[in-house]
Amino acid sequence: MKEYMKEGVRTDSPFIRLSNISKSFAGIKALNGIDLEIKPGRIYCLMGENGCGKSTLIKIISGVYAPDEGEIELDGKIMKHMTPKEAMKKGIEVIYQDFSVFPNLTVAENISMNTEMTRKTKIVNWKRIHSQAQLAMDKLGIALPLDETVEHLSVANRQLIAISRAISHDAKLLIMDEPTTALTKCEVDALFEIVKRLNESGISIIFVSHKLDEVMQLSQEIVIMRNGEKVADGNMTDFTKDKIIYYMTGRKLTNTSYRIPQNVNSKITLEVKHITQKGGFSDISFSIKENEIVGITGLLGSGRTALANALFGISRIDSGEILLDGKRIRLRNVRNAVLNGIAYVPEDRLTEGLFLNQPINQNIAVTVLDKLSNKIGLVKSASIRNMSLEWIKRLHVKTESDELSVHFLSGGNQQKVVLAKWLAINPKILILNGPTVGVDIGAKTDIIEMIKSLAREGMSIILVSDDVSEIMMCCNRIMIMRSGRITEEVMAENINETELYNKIRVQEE
Amino acid sequence: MKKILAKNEFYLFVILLMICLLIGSMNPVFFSLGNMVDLLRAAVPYGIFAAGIMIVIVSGGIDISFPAIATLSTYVTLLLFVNGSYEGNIVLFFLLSCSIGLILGLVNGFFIAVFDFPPLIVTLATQSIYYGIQYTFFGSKRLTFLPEYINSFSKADLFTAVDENGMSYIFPKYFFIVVFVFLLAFLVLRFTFMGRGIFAIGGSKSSAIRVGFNVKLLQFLIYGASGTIAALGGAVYTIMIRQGNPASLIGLEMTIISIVVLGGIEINGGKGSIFGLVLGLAFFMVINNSLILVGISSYWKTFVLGIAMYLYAAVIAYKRKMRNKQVHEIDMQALQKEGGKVSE
Repeated sequence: MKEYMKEGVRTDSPFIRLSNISKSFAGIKALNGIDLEIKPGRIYCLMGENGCGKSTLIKIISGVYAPDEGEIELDGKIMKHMTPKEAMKKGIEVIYQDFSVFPNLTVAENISMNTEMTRKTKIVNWKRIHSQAQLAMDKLGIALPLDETVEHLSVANRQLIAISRAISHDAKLLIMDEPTTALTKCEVDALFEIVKRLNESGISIIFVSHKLDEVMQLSQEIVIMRNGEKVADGNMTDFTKDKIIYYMTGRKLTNTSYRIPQNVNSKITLEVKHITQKGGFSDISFSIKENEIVGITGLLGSGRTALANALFGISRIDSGEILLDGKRIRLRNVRNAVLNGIAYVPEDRLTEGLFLNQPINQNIAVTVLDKLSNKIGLVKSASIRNMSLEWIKRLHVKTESDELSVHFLSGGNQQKVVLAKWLAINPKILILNGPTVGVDIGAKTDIIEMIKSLAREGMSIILVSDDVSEIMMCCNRIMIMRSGRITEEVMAENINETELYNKIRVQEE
Repeated sequence: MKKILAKNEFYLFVILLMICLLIGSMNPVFFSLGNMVDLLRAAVPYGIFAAGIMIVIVSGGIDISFPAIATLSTYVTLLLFVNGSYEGNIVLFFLLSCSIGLILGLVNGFFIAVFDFPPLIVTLATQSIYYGIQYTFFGSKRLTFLPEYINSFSKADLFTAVDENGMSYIFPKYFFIVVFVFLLAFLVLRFTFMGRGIFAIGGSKSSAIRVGFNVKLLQFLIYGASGTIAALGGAVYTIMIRQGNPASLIGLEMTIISIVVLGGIEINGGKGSIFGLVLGLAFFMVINNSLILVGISSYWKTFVLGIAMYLYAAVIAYKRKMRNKQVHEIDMQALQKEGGKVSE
């Protein structure tokens, strides 16, 4: 690495240069004439909406795809056919969104895996595996137990393992695909600290993310893509938030915070009194009116998700009472909640919210099958289709057909299907947990607009999230949780994003 | 100590010990040398089969065609040596049988690795095909007149235990075969990079591909090995019962999978140890062969086995739940203490 840095300082020539790169899949152009230079020791961010060609570009840089046209120049040499192994050898490392760790193996083995692979090991030397892993972690300044199985670690720690693994053998370019999606604010800060440290040691970093604030905080250079083309690039200091959004979406987006419509007379729908769940939250009291969007925020482990789960009957409360329209209800299970008109869009839509291999219409209809069925319990497929087509239209789900499996949809559209599924039961109370996590800006705006219009129509909405901007854009009232309690309640009009962010953080001390 | 307690194997060991003591206290014959020798001898073919299946399961696959492979490969070999003009010898008997097993296993591997077909379906199909080949082309006749070297190897002993009634129990030389298979499997899985690759695939196939393992080649080899070991087990079984019986292994796949699961090998792949497998095997053998010693009819043994598996699954699930809870609590503590930062 040292040698490389000298060279970098002397010439400042790019580590990798792409010229006029194009790539098509089945006749559709995914990339069109991309020129890109990655200089050593810089932090780049690659931005663009889903389907703009970001992942294709990354796969070309890491040798997974060969470009149809164009040239890749790596370290001054033109690469004809670059394989992933070659790219890895040259120091290009990709940290995928799922981190590609082995949950069943130990920390040490996970970190050493790549090095052992390039070393063409035949017989395993466990001592070396441990010392290598230790070395890589020392470089990052972290300490995880070497003999622990990775499945027992938190998401943030798994990511650190993926990074340790990537840098354990002379990485020169680290590509991180949406690295902050599953992390809390604190974990993100810790990650950025590490990224900066790596950068100071001469490693270039390409950072792919949807989260504007983070990107602007971290990156030195920016590359923006849209529809397979590079639409803008340059020094981060030359870009503003609005400019970036404009380049990404090709349209100007405005997001104003939500206000309860003036002329309506809203009554209280849901009220909870002193509810407690051991290990989750304690002594929570609040109420919510029609037309309201109440935000519940707090750090990971503050009890926000536990509270959401309890309000939907996924887990039971130990004490306290829940009132719906003034009447006391018991939420023993999800069915109770659904019958009472409560709907919940979970945090992890992929595992909790959708049947990925099932068509869109089945996914939407699943909550209302009993309503769509006739006397003897048979369900007409026509009624399923009619109903789901209506929702697809209402929520602007981008799809060719309602018969398509959900896993073909982008993250934003999947989220819309989850929404549609719960809106189909026509709920009084809608609980949303991180509804725009991992969703691109355009779809995020769509979803937020949708939420607001539902509230205007009278629905009570509880939005659980740790994404400050999402909370600020949606809610009229915000409750902050910490260690299982609501510690503060603020009206959205009396606070701005930075203040809220600080409030959540300050509570830690 | 904590580490030992954390292992599933530990619980199995305790339960096994308790059952042994219980049976032993009710009928002291259980602990006699004769009974022990009997148990060990009977465990040989089960152990060989289980080792092969364990490797497949650790890699995240499954192979239920192995009884068919074992049957077909040994039967064909026997036919050749019994009816053919060439007498053969014990080494050749093993070699030829294992070679046929290897080929049949590689056929599985080919479909699973190259076409990415689900292992359960592929091996279900080949099981049918291999039995089909056996019965259509080679028949179902039992072969009882075996070459002399097979009979003598069957009786070759390391020592013979004689009890007070004058009953003798042979501790056979072929016991070494299962020891050898276990040792080899242990070394390969623990100390070769290929072995670690098997664990890696079992843990996450997509990650294994990204790290650079040749997953297809590995799968091909794994099913090849499984076929070879199945044939070896078939050969040893034939030697043990001194006849070639094309029907005697039918249905064995579920028994062997039970043993593997009892041994703490994760059915979804990625986890397991030979030590656990030995315990699972011992547990099975004790239940299978020794319940009769305490007067429990052999009809009950499958019932008892079922209960045991159920309890074991419950213990594992419970431990996992506790573990997850623990992790969550630790995370919360760390968050409160250090503001969520990783320990620096």
